[in-house]
Amino acid sequence: MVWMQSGFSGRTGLCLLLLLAMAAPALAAKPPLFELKTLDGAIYRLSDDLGEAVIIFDFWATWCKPCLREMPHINQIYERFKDRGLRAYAVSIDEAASKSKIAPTIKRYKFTLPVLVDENQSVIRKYNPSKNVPYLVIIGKDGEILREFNGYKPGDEKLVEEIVEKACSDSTGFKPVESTERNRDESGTTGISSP
Amino acid sequence: MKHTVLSSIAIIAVLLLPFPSHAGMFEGFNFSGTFESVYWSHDPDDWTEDVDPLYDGPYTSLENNLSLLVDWKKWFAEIRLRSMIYDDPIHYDPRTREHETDLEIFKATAGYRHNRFTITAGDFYKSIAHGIAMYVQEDKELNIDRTLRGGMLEVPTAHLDITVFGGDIRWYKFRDEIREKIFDEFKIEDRIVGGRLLGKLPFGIDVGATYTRARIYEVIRDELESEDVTVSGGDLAIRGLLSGRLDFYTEYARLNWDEDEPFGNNVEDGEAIYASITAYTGGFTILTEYKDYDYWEYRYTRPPTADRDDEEADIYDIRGFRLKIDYFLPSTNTLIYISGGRFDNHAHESSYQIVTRNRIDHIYGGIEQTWDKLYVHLTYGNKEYKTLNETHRHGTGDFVYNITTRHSLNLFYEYKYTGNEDRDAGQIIAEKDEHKSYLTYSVSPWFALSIHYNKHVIAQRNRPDEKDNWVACEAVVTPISALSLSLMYGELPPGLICSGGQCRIVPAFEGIQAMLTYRF
Repeated sequence: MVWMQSGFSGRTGLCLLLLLAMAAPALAAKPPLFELKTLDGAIYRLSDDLGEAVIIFDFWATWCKPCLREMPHINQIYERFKDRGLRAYAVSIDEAASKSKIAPTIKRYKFTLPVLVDENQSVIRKYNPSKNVPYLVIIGKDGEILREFNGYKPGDEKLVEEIVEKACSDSTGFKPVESTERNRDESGTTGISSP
Repeated sequence: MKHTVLSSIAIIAVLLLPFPSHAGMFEGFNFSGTFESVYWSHDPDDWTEDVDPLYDGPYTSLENNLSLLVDWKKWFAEIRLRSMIYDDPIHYDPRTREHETDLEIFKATAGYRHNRFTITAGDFYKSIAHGIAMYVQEDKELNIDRTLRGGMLEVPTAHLDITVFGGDIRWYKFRDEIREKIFDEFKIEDRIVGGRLLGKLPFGIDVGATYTRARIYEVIRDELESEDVTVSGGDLAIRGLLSGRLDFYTEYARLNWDEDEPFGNNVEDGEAIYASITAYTGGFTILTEYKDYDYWEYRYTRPPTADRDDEEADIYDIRGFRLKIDYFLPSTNTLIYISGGRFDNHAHESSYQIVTRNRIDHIYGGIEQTWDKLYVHLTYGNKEYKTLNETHRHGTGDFVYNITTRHSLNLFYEYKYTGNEDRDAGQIIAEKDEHKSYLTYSVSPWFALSIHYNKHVIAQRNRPDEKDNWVACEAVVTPISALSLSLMYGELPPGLICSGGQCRIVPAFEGIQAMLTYRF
């Protein structure tokens, strides 16, 4: 093999792996800021939400079967904890070809999660450059990423619930939210505001 | 010098990884990225040079990608470094046919988000409306990743969004004379400039207008030739009619070539019309769509469709209706859907030569059911090309059983049949049954173990030694949430991979695939 003859024998890859693993603990866990449109055209800004509440972003697509298996659980968690300070968003990465299926899917499954539309996939590329979905990220009240879930395996929702419950129980910086819909009509305190 | 590529990537990654810890002065600074390394070793058991001298021969490849993303206040930047190494240059990339490269900057983007505008320079993706007039996006399933390299300005206001953009789309095309082992590589750099206005009116009404101008290159008689084309159109979306019970969308676009016979082809200017009405009532969602695409031969388009995502959708010359009805029963967690469509082509003399009307009748349906520990999704579809007497059947079964909260089993089965009843109809396809299955045992979130079994029954074989049975096993380990390691060993059959109505042929594979993904 040419590349083997040229001196690569796996040592470089192993070194890289070790160095990556060593470097990991030094990393900051601040989520990248972004703006996205909601399904009804309003603008959502993470900067308005960050540090205010526990936040879940669940990246999904209408064609992604594991996403549709996961989302009912996340929707239940959202319903259970939204009055305790959880703000959860289903971020659709459907592109133009399937964008028309977002609203029917949301209505079909009776999801109550607010939906953000990442049509150009610019936001998921910041969070998960491999762009695999489902991809779920939980952000704590201190504005730092608590946990990421790349893919969905049955049982992950239990872990999500445990993390959310613990995060919501932490009273530091807690600001109660009654409902996303209600706040949207006020002054955009959930981060959703009219354009 | 190939090892220097990997060393370079390693050094860059290691230098940059701890950067945030030294960057306290940059408040709001966000840094993230991914390193992905994929190794393929294809070593077919029964391969002999006499049967197929090039494409089924053994090869080894290694691809490394390092993506780095930076966000600081209103600035953002991304760079992706890539190296692709193949031990046999004839093979190039077995999946994408991309060329071998030493370390290269595959993508580089920088931009600024002001409250009133966003400006992007470098590589970016862009699709317009629902993808008819323009579609340039990455498709990970199909391994397509082309970007516009140029600039874009987006100005959103309360009632009007303005977008202007321009850039080159780079990719490669190969001419290969298999027996002679001659390879030519053509670097294609199509150019697109354009703009879009989107008016946001009261009552959930959006009205859009799009104009793009493109120079498209093609390899004609071993030379690169170009043609200029204008794509223009408009779209209208009305959401929430009848107290939220009805959505309406329609789009119209035209494709005007400057020359009468672009690239010497006997094609006219193209036209595309799409319209859909979606109604919501009780547990029902009813989608009706109409499409009419005529001479819609354009490289950067991907029209919407309610066809199955996992089958190829015709877009060049087709017109007809489709109805899709979904019914969801919350009390039992049951989703049932059924869809039927009838389509024709425009019966141009140049299309299908012998067959003047290629009527397609396509029905498909499915049921999804979730019990306490069991999830089941069954689908079945039947597509008939009436004039050709050609039949396609497609069924799937997906079963997930949650043994405990962490342990689960997933059994997936797919069946495809293609065949001709009348071999004098003008187009003959091989009669083929394809069975695909896998069984996965997962312990969330740490590892998953899969066994794949595929069986092909082909009436007329292209190669006498082609396999009937294909077996492979795969393990995925996630020791920490940021790191994923996967290893596959065995045989995977050739076939089609489809995503969003577009498909790609993948060659057979026998050997080892290994992948490492690290996110930071």
